[in-house]
Amino acid sequence: MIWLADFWATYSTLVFSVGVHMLLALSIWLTLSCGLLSLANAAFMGIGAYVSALLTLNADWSFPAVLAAGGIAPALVALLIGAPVLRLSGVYLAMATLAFGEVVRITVLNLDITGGPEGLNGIPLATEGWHIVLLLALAVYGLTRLRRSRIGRAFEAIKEDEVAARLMGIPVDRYKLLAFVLGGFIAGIAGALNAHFTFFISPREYGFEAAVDILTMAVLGGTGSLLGPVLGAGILTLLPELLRSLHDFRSLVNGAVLVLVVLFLPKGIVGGVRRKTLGAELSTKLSTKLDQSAGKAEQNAAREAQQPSTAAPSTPLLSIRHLGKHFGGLHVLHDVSFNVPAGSIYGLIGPNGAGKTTVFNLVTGLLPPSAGQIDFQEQSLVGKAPHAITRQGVARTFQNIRLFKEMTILENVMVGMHAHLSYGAPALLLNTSTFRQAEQQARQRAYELLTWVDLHAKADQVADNLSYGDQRKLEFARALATEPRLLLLDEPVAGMNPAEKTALMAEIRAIRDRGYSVFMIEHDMRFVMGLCDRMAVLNFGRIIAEGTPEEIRSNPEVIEAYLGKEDEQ
Amino acid sequence: MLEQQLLNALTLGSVYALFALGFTLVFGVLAVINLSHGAVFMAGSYAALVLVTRFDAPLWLALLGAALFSGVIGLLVDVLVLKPLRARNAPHLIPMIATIGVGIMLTSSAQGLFGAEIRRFPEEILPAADFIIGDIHVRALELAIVAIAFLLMAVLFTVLKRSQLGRALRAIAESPKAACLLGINVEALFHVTSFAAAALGGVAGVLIGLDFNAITPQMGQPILHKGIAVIILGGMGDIRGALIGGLFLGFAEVISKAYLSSQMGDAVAFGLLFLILLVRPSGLFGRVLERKA
Repeated sequence: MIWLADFWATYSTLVFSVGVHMLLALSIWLTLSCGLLSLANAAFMGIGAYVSALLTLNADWSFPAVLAAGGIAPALVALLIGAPVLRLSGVYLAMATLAFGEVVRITVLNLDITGGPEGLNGIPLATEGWHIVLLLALAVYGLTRLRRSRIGRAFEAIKEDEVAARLMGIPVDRYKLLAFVLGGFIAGIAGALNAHFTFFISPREYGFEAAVDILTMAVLGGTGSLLGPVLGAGILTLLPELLRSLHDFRSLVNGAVLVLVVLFLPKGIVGGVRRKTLGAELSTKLSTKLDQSAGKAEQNAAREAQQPSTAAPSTPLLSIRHLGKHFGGLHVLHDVSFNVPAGSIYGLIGPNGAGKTTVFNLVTGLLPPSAGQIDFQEQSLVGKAPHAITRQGVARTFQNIRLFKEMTILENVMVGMHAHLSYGAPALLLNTSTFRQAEQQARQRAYELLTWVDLHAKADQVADNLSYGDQRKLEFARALATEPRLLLLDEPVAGMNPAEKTALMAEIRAIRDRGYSVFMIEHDMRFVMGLCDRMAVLNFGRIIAEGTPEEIRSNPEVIEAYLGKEDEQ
Repeated sequence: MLEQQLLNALTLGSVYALFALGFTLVFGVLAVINLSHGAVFMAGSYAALVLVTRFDAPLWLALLGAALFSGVIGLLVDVLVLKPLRARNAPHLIPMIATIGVGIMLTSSAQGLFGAEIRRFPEEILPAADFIIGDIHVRALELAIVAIAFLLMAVLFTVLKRSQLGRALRAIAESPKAACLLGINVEALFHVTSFAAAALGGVAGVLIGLDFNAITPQMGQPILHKGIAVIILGGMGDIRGALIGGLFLGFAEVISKAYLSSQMGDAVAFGLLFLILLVRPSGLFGRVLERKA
């Protein structure tokens, strides 16, 4: 066993660094998995290292307390700067976090308490191998649990399509902040661990190079799974040791690896190891169960159908009054008023550019109205965030389909259930029966919805692979998963052939018969006339007619809008 | 003393502007934050150093050679790295990450070839003439730096504003797709832009190398950060903004170093940058344009 002791004496620092780097790569994985490129993690690591080292040196705190402080301090900083910084997207976020990192580095460089450019010396050695192993194991376990829960799905949905994620009832800003703060916490712990075995820290270690190193590890391994960053960190830490003979050219390899991976392995070494959400075993179990639950679904539908009648029949489900919207000097909507009665199919038609989709964007909270009122079930929707409006029971589909393309079909639907999965963090982390039951029920309900739109056989496929018609169907199922009272459909038959249109008509009727109310925008007159109970016609931002299809068909103003004035011809 | 500081600030600011112009040009046309631009800047100054010390080239030739050398690197990066990523339609952050790798490769190559220590131009090659105007001590070198930087910027502005090439580039900056439909050879112009931007960066590298007479493999890093600050100040992709932003940063840096501590000057600059990003992502001088890059 002597060789082992020798090995340890020589390489323990290296092994420790591998562990610390793995933690760092996991910390940046959190933001990357939301589609955010934040380069702040090196600075968070630095804050953790300095706070913990100063507490050890000056305040004589115990090691566990120091570690905790090393994690909490950067997490608090992340919380503070997160709200404004995370409003930025893409390269702006990368640049802002880079600037933040520079501010932190230069501040540390200039403070007396941090020892300036000399750094802090003589930090007692407190980190032991098992500390790192334990914390790394905890991080991997915690993040794995997170990834397999509604939070992991929310992260992925945000990465794929932020707007669609909001409309699935996900409070996107809060989740981004969670990823940012949690990433800061883990990076801080890594910094604290690092400070207590390297004996000495200096601002140089936490600058731009460090930020890039952390990013490289995650990109090299691939962010499609947790294994990726861990593996990437291992490789990139050990590689320079193996290449010692290259001396100054050593980091040439790091750069080349980064370029080659980006060019030839876009998903990293580990690639997109897609977890099976629905094994073959489960899917057979579900389909046998389905017969029983079909009855239950009918009951649900019946119950849902009952609900509208409990409201006074005179009060509409959605009431739009004097709605106006202008972008600068451009008036898109002007004094728009109409009511969508409960339990009906309501149509909004009008020529291109009439402002139809803007009405949807105002109702779903994606845009604030300039004037007027929008009431849903007698509660105002104006000023509410999109996710809150979804939670009140308004769901929508998009004219240009917006699915979470890299997620499976089942996962797409399960994202829609986000708001209705109410388990908390402890249940999720400890994998309690509450958590498992809730997830199992969600899976089952998602499978039912997919069965209903006839996509259940493809539940495990990635959404991007679906045909156009199937993608529309999946968007329906996903919208229904939010358990809406009112379903907004934005040009549902765009690009469909007559047979598909007829099939969809039947499906929309079936949706209505299940107790949902439908509010749709459509171009295809025959389709709308045959389907809607009532409709409104929008032209140049104004309602020019409202009534039953028969009334609309004979309205002279509508005929004029669609066919032009006779004397103009 | 203030006049002396202002001259220093003008020298520094004009080089920052020259560097940032290439940086912002690539962002405007290719929609890529090219983080290898700092390393290209460093490569330019080493190229000039080699030409001067090994081949006894005069300074003007060294400057030209550096521009060519850096330009070719920029071209190669576009052809070998950015073009395949465009072809794959990679998400916009991916090219930026790739250019980080290119930067590391260039920096470590320089370190391997020339060592990490500071290299200097031979004193005899530098223009030695000094003038005393009033209280100010003016080095001919500084005047030359300012003149070269402004000359190149004037050329670039003229090309962009007046020539057919400039119109085509501005069309691409608006929409590569539309430009392509109009019969503009978008790929070729991406190459031209990459070459020109890198050549400007290389010249900036030589000028800074001459001004401080110090060349190191790491010299691209601080200027890269400043370049980022400048184009954010001026609005990303905004050519005029890069000029104003570069001069502004030069002045801010020199003044804060003279009247505050030398390091805190940088913290103020980046703190300011951070605030601008939060309050006005389109830049101080940029158009009010929600550009989702």
